[in-house]
Amino acid sequence: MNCFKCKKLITLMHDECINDKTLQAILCHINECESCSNYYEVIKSMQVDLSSLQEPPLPDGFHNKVHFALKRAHEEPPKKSIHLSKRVKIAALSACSIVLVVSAISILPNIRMNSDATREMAYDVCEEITEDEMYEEPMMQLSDSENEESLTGAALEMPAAISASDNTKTANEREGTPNSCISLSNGNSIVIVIDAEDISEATSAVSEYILNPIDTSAWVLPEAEPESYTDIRTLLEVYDAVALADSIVLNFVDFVDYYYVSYIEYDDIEDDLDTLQNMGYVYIVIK
Amino acid sequence: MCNKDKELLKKALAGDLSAFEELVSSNEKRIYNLCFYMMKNQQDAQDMAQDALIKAWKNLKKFHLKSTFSTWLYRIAVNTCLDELRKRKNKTLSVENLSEKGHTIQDEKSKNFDEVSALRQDIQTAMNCLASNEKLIIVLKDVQGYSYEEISLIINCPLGTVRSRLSRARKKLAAICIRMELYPVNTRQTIRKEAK
Repeated sequence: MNCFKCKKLITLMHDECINDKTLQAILCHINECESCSNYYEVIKSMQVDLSSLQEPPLPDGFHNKVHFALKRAHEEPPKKSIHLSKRVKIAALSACSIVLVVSAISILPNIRMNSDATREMAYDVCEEITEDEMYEEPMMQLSDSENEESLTGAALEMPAAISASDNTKTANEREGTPNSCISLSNGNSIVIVIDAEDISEATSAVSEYILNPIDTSAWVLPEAEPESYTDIRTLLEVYDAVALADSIVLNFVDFVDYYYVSYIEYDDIEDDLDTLQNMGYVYIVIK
Repeated sequence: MCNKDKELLKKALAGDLSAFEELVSSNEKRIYNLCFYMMKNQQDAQDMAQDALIKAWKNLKKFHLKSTFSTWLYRIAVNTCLDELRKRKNKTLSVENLSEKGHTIQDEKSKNFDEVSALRQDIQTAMNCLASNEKLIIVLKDVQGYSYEEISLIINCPLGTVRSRLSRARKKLAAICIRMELYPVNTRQTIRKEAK
């Protein structure tokens, strides 16, 4: 086991989600490696301190305040709602959907997420909690695998350009490639795949690449770029890695054409250590 | 959900406010605590907890026993806090606002956390350097001790996402703690690069 994997697993090793074999491998590595041993001690102390944080006491009169607030809410007359028949509702919804789809089709291809403001706005829109989500009841009967299935559906499939990278060598195998960075040449643009987990590493990887471009001519060319920005938006909506992407891309705003984020789920730490390396990727297309 | 709670829920659904209050009374403190860690100050925590409970009361009909009542309440509290933090992200706080809200976590420490060690105070400060989502997952798992499954239900994410977010949040918090020199780390250590 190397330090990179070990440090990732150390953060979860007290949660009993790592099997004995892996645990032994981690402990074995910790015994041999001073850096990981120190890191382990930090994580352990941190977790002990977090679990022993004193609970803040309820403020004086909290219960009464809540009581009166609830009473006020209870006595408030309910908001008058317009009652529409089911048919009218369906017709209105259908009309809205058509308008939205038409607008989206005409607008989306022209969207360029170049400015910081646009990116910020897109992020906020994606993150906003709708009223339905706010009160949506968690479905206990939904199994984890079912949940994850919904996240790995067609909408989240990697675009062809990225899937092509599966056939190429991995970043680690390729000489001259910065750590956690795969580059694929595609005409005038380069797709850089970054492990979004480590901002500093990813930032230096992009920096290294932009300053010292390496010869990518022998690499496998992707068939096509992502089909539309719809893909990008879908990905942004689902995953929080966009915050990391923002941090990275802001440093290279003059070089970046567009970027998006993908996130590869791992559901079984016990079985596959390597999957941990695939936690999150930012795809950046350089101008 | 025990029979007594079911009975209370039934009454609450029929409009009995006192039944609802009894039902939420056992969760009030945990909800307030979560809001406190998220909002960083007593006043905001109180407002958010109150808002969450009012929302729960107004939307009680949307609870269909698919989860436990406390998980549902928690979910509302989490969403209320995240929503508020998101709104605030877009607003620049004026100096006046800051002085009005001045009852910060620091004051809280001096008033109510006298017995808490300096290290623990520091770790709270370190936690405040995390993004809302990261702090939320740390509070739920490491401070309040929820299981992965419960967190998955509260924040409505698959288990795998909970694990990865938690791993990332802990890694980030550890980095902050190291930077703040909260824990002794051998500075002469060499950071071994992976053999790629």
